[in-house]
This record gives sequence, C-alpha cells and structure tokens, in this order.
Amino acid sequence: MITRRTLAGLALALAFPHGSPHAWAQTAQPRAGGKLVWAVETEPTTLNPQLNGQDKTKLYLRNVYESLLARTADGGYVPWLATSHQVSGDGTAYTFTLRDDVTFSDGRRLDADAVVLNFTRLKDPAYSGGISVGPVARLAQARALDAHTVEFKLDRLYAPFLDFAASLEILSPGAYGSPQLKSGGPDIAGTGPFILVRYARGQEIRFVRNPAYRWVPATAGHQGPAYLEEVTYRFLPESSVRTGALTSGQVDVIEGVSGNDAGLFKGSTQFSYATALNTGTPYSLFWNTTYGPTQEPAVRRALNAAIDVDAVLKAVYRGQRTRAWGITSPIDPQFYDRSIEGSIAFDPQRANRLLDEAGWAARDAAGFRTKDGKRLSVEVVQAQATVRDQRDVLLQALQAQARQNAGIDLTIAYVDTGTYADRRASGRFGAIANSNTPTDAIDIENHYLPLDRGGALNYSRAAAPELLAWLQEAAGTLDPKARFDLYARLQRFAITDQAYALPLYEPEDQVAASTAVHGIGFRPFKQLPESAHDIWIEPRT
Amino acid sequence: MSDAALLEPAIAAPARHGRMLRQVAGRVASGLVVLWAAVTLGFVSLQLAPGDIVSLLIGEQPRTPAVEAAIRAEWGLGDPVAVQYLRYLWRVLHGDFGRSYILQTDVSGLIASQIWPTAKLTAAALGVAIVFAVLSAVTTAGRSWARRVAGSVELVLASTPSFWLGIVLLFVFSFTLKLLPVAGDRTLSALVLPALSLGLALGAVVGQVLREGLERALEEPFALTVRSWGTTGLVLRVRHGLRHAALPAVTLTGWLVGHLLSGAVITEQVFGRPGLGRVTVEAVLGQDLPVVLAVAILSAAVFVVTSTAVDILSLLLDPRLRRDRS
Amino acid sequence: MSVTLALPARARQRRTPFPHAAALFLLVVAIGTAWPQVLTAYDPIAADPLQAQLPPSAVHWFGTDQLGRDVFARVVYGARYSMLIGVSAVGIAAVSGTLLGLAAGLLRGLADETISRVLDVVSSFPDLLLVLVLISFTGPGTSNLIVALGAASIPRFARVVRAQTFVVAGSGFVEQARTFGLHRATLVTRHILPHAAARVPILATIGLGSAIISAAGLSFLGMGPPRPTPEWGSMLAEGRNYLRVAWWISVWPGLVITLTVLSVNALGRRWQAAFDGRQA
Repeated sequence: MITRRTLAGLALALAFPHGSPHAWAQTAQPRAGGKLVWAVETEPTTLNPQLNGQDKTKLYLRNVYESLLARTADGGYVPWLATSHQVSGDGTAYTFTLRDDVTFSDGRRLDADAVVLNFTRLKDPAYSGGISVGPVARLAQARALDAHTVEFKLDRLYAPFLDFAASLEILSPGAYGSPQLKSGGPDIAGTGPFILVRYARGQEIRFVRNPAYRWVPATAGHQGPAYLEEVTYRFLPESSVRTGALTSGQVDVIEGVSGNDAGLFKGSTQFSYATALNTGTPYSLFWNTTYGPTQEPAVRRALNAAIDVDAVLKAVYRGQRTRAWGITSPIDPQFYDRSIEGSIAFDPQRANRLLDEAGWAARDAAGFRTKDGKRLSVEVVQAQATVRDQRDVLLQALQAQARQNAGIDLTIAYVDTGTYADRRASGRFGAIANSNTPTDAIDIENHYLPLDRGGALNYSRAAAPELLAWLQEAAGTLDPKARFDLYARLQRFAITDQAYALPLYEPEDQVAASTAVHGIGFRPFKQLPESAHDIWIEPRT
Repeated sequence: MSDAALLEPAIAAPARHGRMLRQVAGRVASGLVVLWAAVTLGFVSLQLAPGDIVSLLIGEQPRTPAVEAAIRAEWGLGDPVAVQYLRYLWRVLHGDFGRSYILQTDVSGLIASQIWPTAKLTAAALGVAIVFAVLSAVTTAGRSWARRVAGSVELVLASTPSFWLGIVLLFVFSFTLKLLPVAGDRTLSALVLPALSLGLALGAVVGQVLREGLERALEEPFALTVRSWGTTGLVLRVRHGLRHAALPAVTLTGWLVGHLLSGAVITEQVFGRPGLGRVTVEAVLGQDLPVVLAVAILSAAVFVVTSTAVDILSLLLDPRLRRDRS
Repeated sequence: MSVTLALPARARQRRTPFPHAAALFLLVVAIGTAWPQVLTAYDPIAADPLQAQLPPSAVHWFGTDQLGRDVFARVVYGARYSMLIGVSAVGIAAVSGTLLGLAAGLLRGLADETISRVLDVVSSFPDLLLVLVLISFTGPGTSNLIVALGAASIPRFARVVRAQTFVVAGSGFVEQARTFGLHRATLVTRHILPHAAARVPILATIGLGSAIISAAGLSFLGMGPPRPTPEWGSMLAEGRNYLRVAWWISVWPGLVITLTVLSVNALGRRWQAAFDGRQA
C-alpha cells in the first residue's frame, strides 16, 4: 500500500533530479495570502488549453484547467475531477465516475454532460482543426451513463487512450458558446485553484485565487484553496532580461534559465534553483528519408557520427543540459530503454569514410563534399515561432560541426509558420529539429507512425513497415512489458540501424526563485511545473 | 530649396490658389485619398500574399481534407474578390480589421489593447526629444564653443542605433546598478530607459534644427530691440527666440511621428515592453497579415491626421503660407 | 528609427568634427568589405565549442562568441553584409527616386499628379512599418531586406528631384537650349538631369547612415540574412543574452555600427556643407 506521504516523497525525488530540494525545504509554516510575480518565456498562441500545443504555457494554464485524473511519479493514475475509473476487459470501454461537488468558476456544475461535451466537441475539426485527428479520433462514442458517470467507447483497443482521456483539460460547457472559445481567455471557465482575470498581450496574464476550490488531486501538497491571493505571469522573452528581473527583485520567480545564468542561482543563498527533465521525445534532428542526400542511410549515419554532441552541448549550455540518446525521455518510467545510451559515437573518421564510400568524395571550392557536381547540402527547416532555449545557437553549432568535421553543408532556414507547414506537407526539406512532450508513447507514435496513419510529427518521413507493425502491436496491448520491448526494438531500429534522427538533448524546465517563495514544484510523471496551488510566500521582512 | 523640404512633410503641399477654406478642404480631401489608397493597398497585398493561409492555420497539426474544409469554411475563403474587397472596406470603416491568423482573436481588440503602452512610450520619448532639443538649442545657440560640443554630442546620438543604446542603458542602469526596472510596463519608472533610448536620437536632430532657427531669430532686428529693453540673454532666448524658431519645428512634427512609431517597434523589443511594435514584429515573423496590415493602416492614419492637422495649423498661424506656395 | 537629417544651412558653413578620423575609419570598413581576409586570418563562421566565450586577448582581439567564433573576424566580415545592404538599398532608392522625380517633373499634369499621390501614400507609412509590411509578404532575407528598405526611401529622392526638375525646366537656360534646337533626349540627359539630380549623391550619403541603422535594426529583429551570417545587427541580437558574462560578443558590433554611421554622417555633412558653399 502506497501512502500519500511516500507518493509525495517520490514525486519530490523525481522532481528535483538536478536541483537541490533543500533549497525548497519548508522551514516555516505555509502562509495564505500574498501576490506572486513569475516571469515566463513563452507567450500563448491561444489560452484554450485544448487547442494550445505549447508545453511552456501549461504552467500557467494549469492554474485554471484541470483534468479527470492526475498522475503519480511512477505513471499511475489517482483521482482528480473523477473519483474512479474502470477499463473494460477488452480495453475498449472506459468509465469515469465524477466528483459531485465540482463547479466551474462561471458557476456551472461539472457533470457527465459537461465532460461528454468536451470530448465530442474536440472531435469536430471546425473547433479543433488537426487535433481532431489525434488520439481523440480513436473515441467512437462518449456518453453520460448518469449525472456523474461517463463512458467512452473505442472501436478497438488503444493503450495510450487512458493517458489522453485522463489528461484532457475540461472546460466549462459555457465556453463553447463564447466568442473567446478559440483564443481562450477569461470567458473560458475552468475548475482550477485560480481564475483567469486578465490577459494583456505582450505583458502579463493574471490569476486570482478561486475561493471555492476544494478538489485537489492526491498529488497536491495541501487541501483547500490556493495560498496565494493572486499570481501574475509576465512575458519576458529574453533570458537575460528574466535573469535581471529576478536578481533585481522585480519578479519572484523565473522560468527558463540560460546555461550561462544558472551559476548565478545554483548554490546561492538568495535564490533557489530547480530543474526537471521533460517527458517525451528529446530535442532531435530528424533526417528526411525521402528527400535529398539524407535519403541515403550512409549519409544519415555519417551525419550522426560527424557531430560532437557532447562538446556542442557543453559550449552552448555550459554543461547545463542533459544529452539525449533515444526516442523518448530518460525520465520516462514506463518506456525508456536505457541500453541505447552511448550508442551514437562521435567519430569523424567514420563519418568521412562513410561519405567517401557513398560517393561523396569530391570537394568544392568552399570545402564541402560533392557528388556528380552537387554539393552535400542538408537544409534544416526551422519555424521561427518555435525557436527557444538557445536552439538557434545550438543549430549553428551543429552546422559548424558538420562543416568542419565532415564537409557537410548543413544550412538552416528560419521560416514562418505557413512556409513551415508547406515545406512539411510537400516533404521538401533536409531535416527538422523538434521535441515534444506527450507521454505514454503517444510521442513515439507521433514521430514514427506513417504520415498518413497518425504520424503527425513524422519528420523523417520514415515508412518502414516494421515501424507501423510494432507501434500497432504496442498500442493494441495493455501489457506494459510487451509494450516496453516493442518500443525498445523500435528505438534500436530508428536510431542505431537507420539513423532516422540524431537525438540531441532532453529539454527541461528550469525554475529559479527568491528563497522567500516556497512550494514550487513539478508535476509528478509529466514533469512540467505544477500549478501555483501549493506556492506561498514568506512575509517580507 | 529649404531644409524643411528635406525633412519631407508627409503631404507634399499641392500648389493651389484659393482661399483658406478651400485649402483646408483640399488638405483633408487629399488625406482621405491617401488613407483610402492605403486600405486598398492593404487589401490587394492580402490577396497577393504568397503562401497558403490554410497552411498557416494548420501549422504543425495533421492535415486532412476534412480539416482543410473546416478552415476554408470558417474563414470565408471562397467568396469572389470584389465581394471580399467591399466587405473589407466596410469593415475597416467600422474599425474591424478581421481576425488574427495566429492568435485567433479579433485584430481590433488586440490592437486596441496595445495602443496605450505604445502611446505612453512615444509620448515620453517625444518629451525627452523636446526637452533635450530645447535645452541643447537654447544653451548653445550662437556660442561657438558650446555649439560645437553640443553639435558633436548630437551627431553621436543621431548616429547611435536606438537598440544598441537601449541594450547599454538596460545593462548599466537595470542589471548592474539596479536603479530602474528591467522590463515591462508596470510602473512609470519602467518608461525612463525606453523613452531615453528612443527619444535622444530624435532630440539630437530636432535640437540641430531648432538651434539653427534660434540663431537666425537672434540675428533678426527684433532681437536687438528686445535686448535694448535690457532683457537678459536667457529670457530673450526662451521667450522671444524660441517662438520665432518654433515654426520650422512644426514641420518636423510629421517626421517625428513617423520616426517615433518606427522606433517604438525596436525599442519595445529591446525592453520587453508590450505595445504595437512588439505585436507587429511577432505578426511579421508569423506572417499574420491581418495584424500587420491593421497596424500599418492605423499608423498611416495617425501620420496623415497629424500632418494634415499640422498643415492646417501652420496655414492658420502663418499668413505668408496662405499665398501661392509653388 | 532611421535618423536622417540635413544640417541647417548655417551649421554647414562651420566645420564638421573629426573628418579625418571618419574618413580613415570608413577606409578600414571599406577594406573589410572588399578584402576582409586582409584584416583577419580567422574564418567568421568557424565554430570551436571548446573556445567559446573567451575574453579579448592577443589571439582573439575581440574575444570569441557563444560558439567559439572569432568576434573580430565576424565584425570584419560583417561589414560586407551591413554595408552591402545599406549601399544597395540607398542605390535602389536613389535611382528609382531620381527617375520617378524626373518623370513627374517633366511630364507634369496627370503623370505628376499620379506619381505624387503614390509617393504620398508610400510616405504615409512610417519607414520601418512599410519595410515590415513588405517583409511580411516576402519573408526575411538579404535581398528582400534591400528591396524593402530601398522602396521605403524612394519618396525622399523623388520629391527632391521632382522639385529641382521644375526649377531647372522652368529656368531660362532650358528655353535657350531649346531655341538652339537641342533634342529632347539630349536636353534631358545632358542638361536637366545633372542639375535636377545634383543633390542626389549628398542625399544618398546622408541616407546611407540611416539605411545602415535600419538594416542592422531589422536584422536585430530577425529579418535580416540568415544565421550564421555575421551581420552586425544579428550579432548584437545574439550577443545580448550574454552581456552579463561576455560583454564582448555584443559590445564590439554595437560600437562598430555606431562608428560607421557616425563617420558616414560626419562626411555626408561635410560634403553637403562644401556643396552648399559652392552653390551659395
């Protein structure tokens, strides 16, 4: 029997793999009241959590929007808006029993109809666009069995469905009639410990305490309403500006600390600093297997061998990021196969030999390799909108490595969102770098299912029949061991054998705060920063 | 050919004869024509813009025919161009600039929420520019040594990119000395550094024009007369000289408005301030055309209105201008 | 953003400060633009992660940047991009502005009215915003930046040339020339154009300073040449996040932009003063 205390301890241990948990140790009694200002990097494209794909916005959206179940550090599920859940023997029917005392901040009650509405509307492309073909597409029917019981039926077993259904943010039914539905905003009520009161684009987003809140998940640090009276998140996109804002006392907490600035906060008596690795697919360069020179496996393998990822990470992040090796996060307790680590060796001789053998032996005036007069050029297409965490610097470092170590011309094209979508749709690009955070292998499916079979993020455009077979088999069983083995095989095949991608580093969240701020934590399992529910501030002396 | 012409007043004064009223009406009419043309240009460019709006709206999400159809229906992309043009004109007349592709919100609302921070910044920068210009002109005009020093300082300031000045000010006064807020728009003190970095370069230019006017004024006969009354130098400079020197400065207004709005774009970015500039840069990088065009049309409107107003004002102030200007 | 100015007439008669230093500095910039390898042996885009963020030293005069690239080499090679963008943009503006102004001044009537109105519309958008609108259609990049910057400053040249054309065409000597039976084409190219466009080179020099600032500013905003191109504005943008730990990454490019613009402005004014002195 796992008690709540050990669970919380586990969560804490997982939450602070690098930072010092002592910095956060609660020396005084939590105090209700006070206002907190938190500087964040990413401004939302939409405040509707169901439509927003930016993980960095979840830390404030989670103040308002909650889901049916919460996760524990080991990947288990605990009650939240739903008190219990059942999965039918064949894994195609899910029943959730809802709490009967939950109200949205607009006064509406959370009932079975509200939950059914949330799931059925998400299937409508007019509302959710491409999200409608994601995991929700597996849902054949959602219905209310009674006022507080919901049943979801699937056509066939889909193992990651519970992860999706348990984590979908539930909006008030009133939201669907609001003109703010797509952009999100104060009109879109949730059930969370805070209420969104003001969003000023380019400036800040402000939340006030929800006094009626009393339905925390078992993973929370305390019962009842939040401590803080008000919490404001200011948008400061430059990392140096965020650091300056914290050190000069203008904000209490910052998120997104550059490698250079981490030293200011680590081991400081005035500030606490904590990090947590993200879940999901690491930030990786996916080589396009259907266009340009990267169609040749030898070129992809050479690229993977030509880049000294460790040296690059050390230079760009001053040693403050974790090298990644596989198709999912090292923090994933379910599906990460550690044996992949160290499998990609920096070996410029091998890279050059592979390229010579593949016919890219000649060099042009600029020193780049050529074959039949064509330069060995791979274009990395990067959407301008998603550049963050010094990734522009990282890409330039990779570019320099490819050029200097193997004579490969890695060009980087920063494009707008529309061009990016066009290039992706047409397949005319050399490589795309990205990461994403879904758990329960949904991230693996996104990246390795065929493009037309749900591989929304299949940047390498890999279509080997093995991939589909393994992924379908894994999604079709509820046996975690069998799933682990299948994903491990896929990982070997994709990274070591086929070199579809070069995993670079595992993104993480960094939070630095004044030591007067207590209770900042990361979500168990999902790792993103937790809502402000447990945060409190020592009275200023 | 006067220097004022080099500073390009926005509306080239049309050579027309006639009475005041007709001149005023002419100015207003040509202002309206310019605005109509700006809006039409905006619509044409929306139509001609490369790239598929549907792609932009889908972004990273999977693309299926059903999703595309839903988007086309939602954004009314099927109507004839003429219908779309009339609708656009009608909506713009009512202050409706459509919906942002990226943010999914009403463009007018988005822009309205950003006007105040930008207005504050430009007003403060204008204040800095005027104070700097007047101080520098009044204290140094006609004094050979001081004017050379001031001239050099002004030349340096006018040659310093505002974003570079901003970064340096930010580093020194916020990060190192911790005297002023780092970023944002929450307190009045947060306005100091952005206003300085935007206003000083403009003040340097205005200061030179003003000093020139002041020196000319001080050589005119009236200055001798006033001096003979026993008026002290400073009073003469401030009360009498400035008034005479002010007129060329009025023609500067249009130029200043343009440069303040342009400069705000970069200053807001450097200081992490909200405002029209930041929204515009994000929109340009994201190809969010409805937002870009709304900002452009709005600033053209501000520009046209102020320069028409200045034009009319100077007609009223200076009877000489009412004569034929060709 | 761009601060263009024509110095008042009286000031022009006085000495512009530091002309020799300005000329010398621009000469160095010109060498950097034409033969950067004369000034530095380093490759501006060669990264060496192990040598990142080194302070200025005898080996790396301006230090190294976040990727271990030599900052001095980047500043030197950067001259090529920043100057190229500035000069080309002004060139486009000067040539098209002169032609438009000349056309308006010579053709008069409807053509003049049309051209003048179009110029009014163009100049009713603040400079930078017009450039941003153009870039939002064409996307970022060196050539798009040049065209957008150039297009935005056409009215400045067109207006002056148009006004001068009126003056020249109305003056007695054109009438005289006509009575000598000169061809219209000869008249325009030999007699009207040189006089009408006499100020254009000076305007262009003064405009160059502001074009360099505008170009650097737009690159700073991410609309310039793609990375790792060593453009001064984008170097500043990249370096600003390292200001606390490595000031040299952004301070040098900032200083060099300022000095270049300062030199161009100082010389432009001196030239203008000399020109007006001659005319007076």
